[in-house]
Parts: sequence; structure tokens; C-alpha cells
Amino acid sequence: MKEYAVVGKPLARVDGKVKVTGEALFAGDIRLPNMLHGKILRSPYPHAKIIRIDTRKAEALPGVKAVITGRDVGPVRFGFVDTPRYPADMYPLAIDKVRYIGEEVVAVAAVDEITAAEALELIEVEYEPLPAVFDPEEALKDGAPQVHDEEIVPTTTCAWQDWGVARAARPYKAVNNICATTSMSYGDIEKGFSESDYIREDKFVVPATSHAAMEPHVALASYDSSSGKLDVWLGHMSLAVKQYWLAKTLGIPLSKVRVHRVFTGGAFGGKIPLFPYEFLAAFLSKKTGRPVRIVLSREEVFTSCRLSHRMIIDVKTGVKSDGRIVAQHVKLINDPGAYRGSSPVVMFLAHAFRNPIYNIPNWKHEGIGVYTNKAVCNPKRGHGSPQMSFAVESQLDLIAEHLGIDPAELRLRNVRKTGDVLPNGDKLDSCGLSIGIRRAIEATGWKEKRGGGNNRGIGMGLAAMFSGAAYYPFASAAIARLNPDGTATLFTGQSEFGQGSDTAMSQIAAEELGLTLDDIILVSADSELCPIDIGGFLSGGVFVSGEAVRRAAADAKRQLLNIASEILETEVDELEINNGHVIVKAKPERGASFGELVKYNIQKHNGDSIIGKGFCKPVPEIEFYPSLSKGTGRFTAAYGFTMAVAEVEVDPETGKVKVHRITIADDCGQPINPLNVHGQLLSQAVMGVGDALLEEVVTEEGRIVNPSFEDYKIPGVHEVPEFIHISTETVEPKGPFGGKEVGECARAAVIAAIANAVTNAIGTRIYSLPITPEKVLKAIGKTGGSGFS
Amino acid sequence: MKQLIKLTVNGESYEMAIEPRMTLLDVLRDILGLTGTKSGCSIGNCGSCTVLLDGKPVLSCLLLAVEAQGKDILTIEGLAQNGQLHPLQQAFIDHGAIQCGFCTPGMLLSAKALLDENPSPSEDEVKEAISGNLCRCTGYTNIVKAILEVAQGQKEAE
Amino acid sequence: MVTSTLGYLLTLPRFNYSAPSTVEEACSLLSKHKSEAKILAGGTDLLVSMKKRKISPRYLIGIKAIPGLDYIQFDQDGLKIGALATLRSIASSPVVKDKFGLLAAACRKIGTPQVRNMATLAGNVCQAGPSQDGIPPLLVLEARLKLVSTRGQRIIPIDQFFKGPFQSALEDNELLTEIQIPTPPVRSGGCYRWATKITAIDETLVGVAVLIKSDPAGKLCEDVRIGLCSVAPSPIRARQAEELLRGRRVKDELVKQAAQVAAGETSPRSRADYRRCMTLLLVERALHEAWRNIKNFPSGRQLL
Repeated sequence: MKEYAVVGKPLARVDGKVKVTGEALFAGDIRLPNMLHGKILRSPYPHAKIIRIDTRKAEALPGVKAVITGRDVGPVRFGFVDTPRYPADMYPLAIDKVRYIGEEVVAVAAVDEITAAEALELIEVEYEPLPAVFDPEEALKDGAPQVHDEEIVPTTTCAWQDWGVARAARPYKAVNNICATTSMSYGDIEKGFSESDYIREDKFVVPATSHAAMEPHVALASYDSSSGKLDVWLGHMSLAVKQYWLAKTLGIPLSKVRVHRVFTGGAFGGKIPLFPYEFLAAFLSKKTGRPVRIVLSREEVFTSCRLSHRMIIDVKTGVKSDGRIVAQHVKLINDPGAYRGSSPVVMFLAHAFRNPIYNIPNWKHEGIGVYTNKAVCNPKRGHGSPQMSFAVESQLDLIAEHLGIDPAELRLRNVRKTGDVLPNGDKLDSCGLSIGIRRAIEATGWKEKRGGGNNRGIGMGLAAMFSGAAYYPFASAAIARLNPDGTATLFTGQSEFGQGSDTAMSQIAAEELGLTLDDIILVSADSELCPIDIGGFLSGGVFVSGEAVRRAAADAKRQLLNIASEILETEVDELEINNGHVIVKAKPERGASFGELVKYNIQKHNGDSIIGKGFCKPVPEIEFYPSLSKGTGRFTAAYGFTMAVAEVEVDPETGKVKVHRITIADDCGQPINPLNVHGQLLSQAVMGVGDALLEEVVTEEGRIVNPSFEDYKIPGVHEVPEFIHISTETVEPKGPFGGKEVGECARAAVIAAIANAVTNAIGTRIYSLPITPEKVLKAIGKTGGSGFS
Repeated sequence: MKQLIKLTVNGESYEMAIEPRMTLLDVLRDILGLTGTKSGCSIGNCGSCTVLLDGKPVLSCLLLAVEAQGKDILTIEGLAQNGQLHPLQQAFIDHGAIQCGFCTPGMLLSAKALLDENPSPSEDEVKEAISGNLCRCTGYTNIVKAILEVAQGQKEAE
Repeated sequence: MVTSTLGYLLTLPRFNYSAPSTVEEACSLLSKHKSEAKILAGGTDLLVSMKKRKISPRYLIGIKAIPGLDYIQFDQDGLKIGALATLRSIASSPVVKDKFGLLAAACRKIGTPQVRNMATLAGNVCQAGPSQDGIPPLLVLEARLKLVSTRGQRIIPIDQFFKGPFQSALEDNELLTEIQIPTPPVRSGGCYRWATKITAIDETLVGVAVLIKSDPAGKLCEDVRIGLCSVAPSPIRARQAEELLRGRRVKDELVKQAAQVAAGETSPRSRADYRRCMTLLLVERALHEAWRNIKNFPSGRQLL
């Protein structure tokens, strides 16, 4: 691996100081003069008609400035997905019907929180409860209650149209509660199965989990009627997504919506699309002429802010006797809840994230998204990969066991290699799968430990992740402005939600310009000041935005070298950059500082102060997006890979699983900042423990019964295993300095590894998550209790 | 009905008229503008609202402001002295113990309370001290390392 | 008292607040407002219930400012714990750790470090929930509770205190001012063991307190008390299991049998099979541990 001056160094993060002193501002810390506080009245029924809403008493309460219902807002629709085929299906406030417990019905703005809360108590809503459906397989049956019985008719252009796709939005009528379907195939699976020596079919169930970021959701909106401008402060993962949807739903020009820079207190996929409370804060601000802040309670975050996707996954795989996979047929039922959420996307990604791992010549992947009267699902760190990886990696171990082949060896026989071209045309210019597996095996003492014994087990899981894809705004751009004092100001739309993008972007710019990290002044995440950016939820922070930053810095550098060549009267290729100076290689005492060059350029070239511009698309060769339903078309230009090994010990008396150690061999290309990389992987190791063993959003008759940290347990300090990180030392040629994604691949691999390790320890498999003590005891034949929760 | 109360926060005295329903967390954030203390769950499960009361970590979301009178309250804003970071703050930066930063103030204060009382804690004691502070980002390991390093440094300094 | 479907807002309702400076003052406020008033001590249970809108008392009587109520005293009669003694002070008290170790262990288990700095054992007892860790040790130590009102005071044994989930014998106008714990007899050993629901820092799934006394020869169980929490509507004594053991030689077989009987005395509402299974396991282990705690000190010095 190449040695760089700034990139690849474990430098302290640039936002560390403000975060340890409490100076760092999150959206909920911003206070505006005359600010009002908003609260939302939510549906207590999973499915009901709204007969009547009487807000008069609430409006009359002193201190209440506005009360709005769905009729006041009108049929404004929005959603994570808004395409010609799948028009947006959500309203900010329910109009005729409520479809899940927690759905927004009325919003209030008042002078303080207690008044807003008391106002909610004075609102009378008359509901007519309707039969509800909670199980997706039940919902598919004829005669089941229809969650969306009316046709969803777009009243505006859909997002895809706005973004340039020449296809009009169509009405959508859900039949048998189906909200989305995917059907992708390659090769001939019938032929593949007929050629298989061994075929097995297994079913796996993954429940919804919560992102549980420490910062609850919050929005502060301030609309100024004289300028027609909307200013917002939000927790988020992408400026562009929030800006676009606020502009569209409120009827405000895009350029008049400013998403201000704040730190976001963790996201993990849970803060991407427009949420009702954000729209409502802005709408109420417009209505009252005052800033409005809506802070959601932790319970509201759990019940009404989206969960990770519930899935029932049927996998049928055919292999040769040497373990090579020849055919795989996946049938997936996705239960996104009462609205579509990101259903078509997760079903596409459940396949797309597995595609780069094993070279399977014949496959078919079918998915069906089904509406139920439950809370809505959206992306969560890996978006489909954790669920599908749990299923496929578990089954792979079952196959290995049957064939008498070591599971790591079986994987080695099937994994893709550098240079492979996937069925959709994506090429793996870097792929650390094989080397990662080998290094992980060696580091963990895999072969000796596979024998098990002493209630211990070791297991492996593999996962892959894209590095950016074509989604609004379809590219990232950056500006590098050189300053007369020799520093550089970097403008990037990437937003910092803990993943370290502020630091990584700064390091990339510093490296390209030959400056130190301290010389980079960062202006990030402000939609008015910064150029477009794909945001941090597409895993393209380094590969796409980082590359845009590098190109901007390179552009500035090129201009700098040109002017230096002029002043020093030397050819550009005889110059080099050293320590904030441009010097003549042959005569290092001859040179000029960056500051001098900038000042000279301003004087000599009519005011040109040296501004570098850079931009990058996730996949340069394509416009827009691949087919979500067919899986054809280029998707991403680089994949990250994680090979995880988990070592566990199971207590046969209590059924409790202790994860002793997680070893991760990760291919993220060149790490921009090893501290950040280590942090992302450790984060996912611990999050994976939560998914594998602890976390499940439990719903009874549509009601989430564990909407608090009291009852929904995320890993605490005592749940943390020992963690070992191994690099595969791969380099991605197209990434900035060779880097690609690292933030959301490992979680899936860790979950699969733990599941396989538990199986190795107890000798029998559990087909659903989380792997609770009761499921373990039942599996080893000790006590009652269901295997599926 | 509002009550006149006096609070001592980070060595400064503040007087204010508040309803008894205001928690210490509400007062710190909304009246005193000390937004470093965070509200993560408001019912005492996450530890983000941790402040020190006479040196002991407490949950400011479950403490009425009227009941915090006559005590020395330390928030994250009071940890650095004269612009100098506390060794714990520096160690958190050095060890990659911060990601989104939301749990960080609470973590630092729980850690400070530990080291002030027990300058040479074992790793288990460090874990116990932060067992009431949830973190979703970092995976805790670097936080424990940072605290142990400061403890070690304090030990060597003696 | 008002309940509300808006519990998801997690905001404190409005209330009137007084901070009496004596017990008498507190009692007279309770007499005046009765069921419309609640005592606020640690606040970690009460304020949470109020934020969830499970209850909305019109009056909160804050007793934190009453001086001299946070004592932990030990004399020839035993241990006396004042109403405002925090879980932390009890868990770290040398005399409690030394002589009433199972109580220290339970107090140390509850909540988190922050909670333990705020919550009181008295509050834990008055909450009277099925899962309060503080209660099984008090049950097996046969604690007594001093309840004070404007009418005077009464002292009741703890096993008469619990009437049902979150229902106790505490009258509307009474304040629990002191928990009295008699010193266990010589040749006693005790322990508190538990399993949590999901993570290590979590509500208790099954809590087991044991106090066991041996004969001078160290072979027979002269007396045993087994207290359980989280396995029934209220914390209970596993009296049938105790009966089985009393007067008999302590052997592995018998201990296992007693544990089985104890598991049969439970009536858990959720995760019932697993709770019974864990009760069996923990009672067995607790009995052995408590017994070992005596054996280590055959000199008769009482150590728990």
C-alpha cells in the first residue's frame, strides 16, 4: 500500500474538540427568537377511518398559535420512493384513514412544549376502527383487509420526473396489499438445479429493528414570508434529499430552501427521507410566521420514525459436490408496514449487495412487498444486506456441513475475484474477498476452533456494499478555494453524522494539495454554501464525494502550479509542492508559498483568486438509475467487502450467547483515516451483536410494545466483544487515493458470522433473528418457547 | 405557579423563576443555554443527560430543577478549565472515542466522576462507571481505553 | 389521578410542589392532599411514570431536603436504613457489604450508576412492583417497615406490605421513613442472584435472594428463606421450597428438588417457561452459594 502524507494517517478528527466540550451544535440545540414548539397527535388505531376531528378547544387554549389537520395540508404526498411505477404514498397528516398506530393526524404549534402537549389533549378525533392486518402472508390472501383500498393518484410530477426521467407518474392500485415487486434473473436456474448434486431450500425470518441513534429526531423550521425563504435545521444524512422534498411538498423553489449545517447525532439510515414532523414544522412556520421546532420523544422515534425491513426469505440453492454454487432461487416477502417506505429499493439491494460476493451462474431473485398495518420500514445500515446475508450465509454453512467441506473453504471456492464482471455490468476493479478470508482464518485459528467443544463455536460471514449509486442529486461536487494566507477552504455538501466525513474530506483535500490537515478550513453541509452532494446514505462518502473533493483540490493545484510556473519561469513538470510551497525540483531554494501565489494571481490575472472545482458521479457511464424491479443496468463503480469471523460461547443452562471476539477483515480500499475506519468497523461489530442476539421491535396487534431503551435493548458496554481488525490491503484504482466504502458493509457480515458461530457451538441452527436464549434452549432441546418470535 | 430558585452551575450562580415541572435538563438547555447536556430519551434510560451533582453522576432529565438547589452542578461546559481541555477530553479525541458526539458529554462526566473518586480503576470498574451511558456509534472500546489511559497517566504523575 | 393516551409525548404534566423540611410537615401535606399527592424522593420511578402519563398527581411532596433521613445505622438491634439513603450509599456501605451482603448486591444491581446515586431503597420498596431487586433480600431478611403519618407510626413486617403489582399497604397519608433489618442469626449465609431480561444492565428477569442457616455441625439446614422477584405479581417467598429444606441435610439432590419446587411456586405472566427454567437454575445456585458462605466461616462469625 502506498504511503501518503495525510491520507492513511490516524489523525484526530476535526470535530473532536467541539464534541468533547459540548460546543457542537445539533439541530435541537438551536434556538431562534420567537420560536414556537410543535407536537403531533398520533393515531391510536392500526387501521381506522377518520370520521371527525374537532380542534376548537385546542385552538382556544391560550398560547396555542396553530392547529392543523390533514384537510389543512391537503393531499400532498411524499415518500422514500416516488417513481412513475411507485408514486409516493404518504401524507404528512392522515386525511381519510389512519393505517398504523403512531401515524400523524393533527399538529399543534404553541408557545412552549407543555402548552402544545395540553392542546393535544383537547383535540377530539372520532375514529371508526377497521379490521387490520399484521402478517404479510395473511395480507396477501384474498379477503384480507386492504391497507390502501383507494388508488394512489399522483397529483404532481413524481420525483423521478423532476430529476429528468422522461416518464410520467402513473396511479398505483395495490392489489392484495402488494406495494412493490421485483423479479431479477440471470442464466437458467432450472438448468442449474438440474445440474446440481445437492439442493436445499431453507426459510429465514428477520424482524424489524430500530436504528436507535442517540439523538432523537428533531426539526427546526423558519419561514420568512417576505423573502419566501425557508431555513431549516434538521438531523439528516443528505442535504439534497431534505431540500428537494421540502421544496416540493411546500411549493417553495428549491433555491429558497436552506438546510443549515448542524451535527447529526447518529443516523444509521434512520434520518434520510423527508419525515412528517419536518414538513409540519415548516408548514406551521409558514402558517404562524414564527420559527417552529418539533422534537420527537424517544417513544415517537421508535414508533413513528421508520424501522429496518422485516423479511421472510426463502432460499433454494443448488451446488456441485465440490461446493460450487450452480443455482440460487430467492423468494423474499418484505413487510414494510403501512406505507411503501423503501420496499422496492430494499428488495433490489437484498440482491444487489449479494451479487458481488459469489459467482453464481444461474439465479433468480423474486421479491414482493406487502402492506400491513404496522410502522413503516426504511433503510438501516446495509439496507437489505443484513437480512439477506443472514439467510444466504447461514444456508451456505448448512451446505458445507452436508458436503463435509469446511465453510471457509466452501466460500473460497465460490467468491468472486478482482476483475470479475457482474451480470449487470459492474466490474470489480478491487476485491479483497479471497485474501480477506485467508487472513481471517489465519488470524483466528479457524481450523483448530471449528471442531467446537466446550460450548464454543466459530463462524464466518461475508458481505458486500456499494460505494455510491445514481440517486438524487446524482453527483457530488466540491470547491477548493485557496486563501491568501496559504490555507485552503473546502466546500463540500457531505454531512457529518458521526461517520467522520468532515475529517475524511479534509484529509483528502490536504493530501491532494500537499497541505496539513490544520491548513484545511471546512465549510460543509450547508445547502446554500456548498455544492451538490449525494449525501452519506449511499455509502459514497469517500468514493464519490471524496473523489469530487480530490478533483477540486487537484484543480486548484493545477492552477497554482500554472501561476508558479509563470512566476518562477519554469515548466510545470519541473515544479513540486512541499510544505505549503511550490518549489523548483532542481533548485529547492527557489519557490513561492501558496499565499504568495494566490496574491500574485489576483494581481496578475484580473482578480482570479484560485478556486478549484471538482465533481464526480457514482457511475460515470450511466444516467439516472438501474432498474429496481429487473436488476439490470449498472449500479455502482466499486464495492466494499467484509469478511467477519465471530467466536462465541453458549451457556447450555441459560441459553445465553456470549460473543468473545469478532475479527473483521475488511476491504475498504485505501483507508483515508485508519482511526475512522477502525471506528466504523468496531461500531458495526457491536451493532451486529445487537442484531444477532438482542434487538427486535416487538409488535402486538400493530402496537410496538417495546418503544423505549428500557425494553428495546441495544448493546451496552458489557456486551462488547474483543475486536480485531485486519486490512486486506486492497486498493480501489478509481477511488480517491484508492479508497471506497466502509460504513455499512460489516454489520451484515457480523450478524451472519455470529449466527454461524452459534450453530457451530450448539450443533443446531436457528432460522430467525434475534437468537434469544429461549430459541437456543429450544434448539438444544431444553425448554418450551417458540423458535420464531 | 412559578418559583424563584438559585442554581450553581459550573461555579456560577443563576437565579430564575420556573415552574416546578421543569427538570434540571430543561433549565440547563432552555434557560441557561447550556446545550452540551443532551436529551436522548427523557426517562433515564440512556445517560445522555448525565451531569455531576456534588461530584456524583445523576440523570438531569429525572431531577426537578427545584431540587438541584444548594448543590454544585457540573455540566460538560465546565469540564475544560481556562480553555484547557481536561485530560479525559483530550484522551477521547486521541483514542477515536467520539463519533457523532451525542453521548460524549454524558460519558465524559461519568468518567470524570469515576476518576475523581477512584484514580486507579480496573477495566471492570471503568465499564461499570459508564454502564449507564448508551452509545450507538463507537462500540465503547475506545472510550474505555481513553479513560484507562488517563487513569494510568494520573497514576504515573503521582 | 389522570391517565392519558398521550404517554408517548414523555413530558411532565403540571403539578404543585412543596419541599417540607420535616417528616411531620410531609405527613401533614399527605394528610391534606391524600391520593392527589405523591412523595418525591429519588424520582427515578415517579417522574418516569408521570412522563409516561400513567399517573398525574396534583401535588408532589419533595422530601430530599429533609435532613437526617439518609442514615444507615447498625447497632445491636440490626440495620436501620433511612428513607433517603440512596441505593449507592447502601451498596457501598461497609457494614451492609460486610453483614448484609445480599442487600448490598441487590442495591448494586439496580439501574445504572446514575440511578443509584438518585434512587432510594425506600422508594424501591414503595414502588411495590413485581421486579424490584431491593425486595427479595428484604423479604428473606424479614425486614420491618416504619410507616409514619399524622396519626402516629406503625411498624409492619415486609411480607405484609405487598398487596399486588404496584399496590402496597402504604396508606395515602403515610410516609415510609425507615427500613429495619434484624441482624441474621449466627451461622447464616446469604446471597442475591439474578438474570436480566436481555442485556447485562437491564430489568431483572428472575431475582433470587437466599438466607440459609446451618446447625452447629454445619450439615443441616436449620432455617432457610428464599425470596423471588419478577416471577409473580408481587415479590414472594418460596415457602414450599423452604419447607422442603428446613431441618434436612443439605445435599445436591435436595437442593435441586427445592429449586424445582420454588420454580413451581412462581406464576410469571410473560416468558413463563424461560422464567421457570431460570428460577430453577438460580435458586439452585443461590442455595449453594449461600450455604458456601456459611461454610467458609465455621467460627460462627456471621458473614453474608
